[in-house]
Amino acid sequence: MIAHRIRILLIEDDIIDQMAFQRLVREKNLPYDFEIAGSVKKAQEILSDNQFDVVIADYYLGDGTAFDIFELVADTPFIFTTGVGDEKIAVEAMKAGAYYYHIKDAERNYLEMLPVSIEKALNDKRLEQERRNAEEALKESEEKFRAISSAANDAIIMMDYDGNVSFLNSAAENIFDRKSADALGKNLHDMIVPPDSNKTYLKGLRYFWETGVETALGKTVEMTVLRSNGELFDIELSLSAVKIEKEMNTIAIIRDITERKQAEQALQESESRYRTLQENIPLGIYRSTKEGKFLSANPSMVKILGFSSQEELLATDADQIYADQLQHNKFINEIDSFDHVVNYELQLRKKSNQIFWAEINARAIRDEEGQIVYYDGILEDITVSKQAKEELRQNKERLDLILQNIGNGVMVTNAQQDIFVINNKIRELLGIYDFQIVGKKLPEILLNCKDKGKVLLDALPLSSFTNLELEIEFPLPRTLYVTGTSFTDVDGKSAGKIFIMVDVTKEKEIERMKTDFVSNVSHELRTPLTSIIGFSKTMLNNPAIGEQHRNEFLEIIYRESQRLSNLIEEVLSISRIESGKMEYNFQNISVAPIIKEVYNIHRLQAEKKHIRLSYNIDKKLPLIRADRDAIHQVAVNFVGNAIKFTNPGGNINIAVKNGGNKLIMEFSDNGLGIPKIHQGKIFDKFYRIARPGTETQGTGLGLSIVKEIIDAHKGKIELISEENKGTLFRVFLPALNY
Amino acid sequence: MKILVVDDDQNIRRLVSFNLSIEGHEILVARTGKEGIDMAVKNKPDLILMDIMMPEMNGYDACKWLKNDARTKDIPLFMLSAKGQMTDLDEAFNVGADNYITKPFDVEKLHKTIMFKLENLRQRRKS
Repeated sequence: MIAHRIRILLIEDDIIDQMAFQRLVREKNLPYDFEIAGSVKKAQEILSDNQFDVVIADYYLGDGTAFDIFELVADTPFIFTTGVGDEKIAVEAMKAGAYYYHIKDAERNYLEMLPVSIEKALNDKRLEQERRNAEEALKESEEKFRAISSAANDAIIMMDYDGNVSFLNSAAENIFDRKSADALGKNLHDMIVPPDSNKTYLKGLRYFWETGVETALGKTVEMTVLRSNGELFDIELSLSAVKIEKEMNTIAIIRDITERKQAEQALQESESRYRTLQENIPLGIYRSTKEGKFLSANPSMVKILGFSSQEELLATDADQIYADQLQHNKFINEIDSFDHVVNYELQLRKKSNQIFWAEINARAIRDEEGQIVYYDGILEDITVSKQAKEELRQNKERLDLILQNIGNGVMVTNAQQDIFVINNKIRELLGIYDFQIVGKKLPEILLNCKDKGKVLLDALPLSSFTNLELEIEFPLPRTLYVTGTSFTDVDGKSAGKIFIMVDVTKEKEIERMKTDFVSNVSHELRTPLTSIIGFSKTMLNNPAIGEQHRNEFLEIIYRESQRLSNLIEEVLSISRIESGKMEYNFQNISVAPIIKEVYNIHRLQAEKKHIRLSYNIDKKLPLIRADRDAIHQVAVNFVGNAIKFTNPGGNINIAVKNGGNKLIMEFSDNGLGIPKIHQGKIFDKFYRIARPGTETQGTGLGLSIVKEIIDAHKGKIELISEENKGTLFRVFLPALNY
Repeated sequence: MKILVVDDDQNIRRLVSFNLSIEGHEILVARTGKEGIDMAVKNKPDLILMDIMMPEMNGYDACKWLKNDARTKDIPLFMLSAKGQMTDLDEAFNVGADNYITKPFDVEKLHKTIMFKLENLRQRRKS
């Protein structure tokens, strides 16, 4: 129903009809507001200013016909009234767009019908208006849809019930590389689903309804599809069904997910790699609380710690794992202070309670407030490498110990003569106090050598040399034998030289002494021999020499033979001692009888030279452990020397004293004495004091023999002597049972 | 001829003196190198026999001294030594010795060597 009042323009030139209409409206109380125009002109006037819902016009008007007005009210329902017999006009009017017509009858019955027509006309117009509005809205919405769909990045494709494409947006054109014109009307499934695919989502609704195959409607699925060029790519597909004009359609929203897929795959691969790595790497990877309780652990971690499963490990207390509380606390402190630890070594305990060394690299993970949430760490069992390291260290230490304590100097230089190994012995021998000598050049260690080691430097071009004699001048004069051996690197190129230096100072000295010995002995042998041979030959050559000469010469021959004999005895004795072949027959003996015997042997000899020889022996003497003959020899040599070096009228005394834990023998004389400068050397072999104007025979061996014997008896000799005053030799020997 | 014997061993001195006296030489003796030098300077011997190992200046030093002194440098000097090593000989000739005789020596040969040297010297001086 129309709620508001209806505005009507009645165009009627007949007053009666005008009145009849007015009466109708009044009588029927119709909701009409109306105006009446009596002519075309009047109607035109009114219409120029007013809008009406309905126009009712009589065909024949005084100044024209209804058609003259018709054009002015194109959108307004127009109802004709004509007289009887003018049906032809009515038809014409209807054709022109009039809504309805009424034939005026004489009784004015048509007025009864008029309100119905009006209402119907208005209703139709309203419907028409609504239809038009709807059409416009639809048009507008379609335009919006197109705009949106063409702006969308996702492909939007509409299919009909059979799956044929009825619409696709520009994204779809791009994604599938197809023009709308080519795609429209074609079956989407046939177009983009690879022949070998078992995915049927795009076959159309008919297929689903008829086959009962589950569709992807309302879901989002992924599938691989074809581009127009045959290329395969991945899409994400959302399907929805819509009913458009009673037909079921499918809307597919398709997103090209190639990139996402690739990224996903890359991520997956990387994750898988990471997982494989984490699971197979022989390093323990873990996350733990600050206190050390494990939150996660890779299989290697579980294995290293000897647990059978991760769960078992994670359920174990930190105290059980960290073997040393103190170490663990230090470890925690270190991470807390530096946020990480690098190659941190500490001891852990396996499930089996076996303790091992682990190396940990870990860092602290903090929350937004800076509090440590957990530690992430990598752990390695370094038992083996630690053992190896330890062995290596020990080996190095051992080698170093050997190198440094070896009795010979060892040095290694590279091909450029840079020193890179040098042991303490060389430093000692060559007087090198520079602790930075490693890395310096070879000549720098030779500064204390004779001619700055020229002999060695000259030999360097040789690939090897042995027993090169290097004379050292400082800190002590020494002779070294240097052996140099080149060594080569893997390429066979000379890499440097190894030098071995042997201190042969003592050997050289011994060698010199031996030479001297031979030389001296031969000299000492030749001298008496010269007399023996010379005088016997003289007597043979001169048979007529007198008795006096003969006796004199025989006397000389006899004395010199005696001297030769003594000499030979002494030489034999010293060589026995020197060669270590001297065999002492140690026994517990008393010295007193030996001294008395020696006294008896020499008493006459001394008397002959007018020297008084005496002895005094303490009553209570300790026994000594000694070789009787050797002690005898000592006494003989001392007394013999004393007689030799004491002038006639002098005194010689032998005293034996109880020195508590020692036995003391003293040989004193008031003879020539030994000048100070000689006192340090008189025990050297063949050392003889030059005394002008005195003729003393001897080999220079006597005292050296004495010294050797006393040394062998762990005794000591003291010498107190002053030139021209006399000499005292005091011998101390360890007493027995003291 | 006047021959100076320098040796610290009295037996050697006696041996050489006796044998060379028999041959008609005049013998002078000295017991040390120093004594030998004094005697040589003072007595101008025709030849000197010099031991090496002696107290108070050995034979080498005495020889060196004598051979460096204008008064004595032309006197033939024979080393007479029990030291028989090559180094001893070298040292002796280094200091200017004219001969080196090793002990023990044959007294006849010693005399002949001395005479040979003196004759040689006389011949050379003549020419």
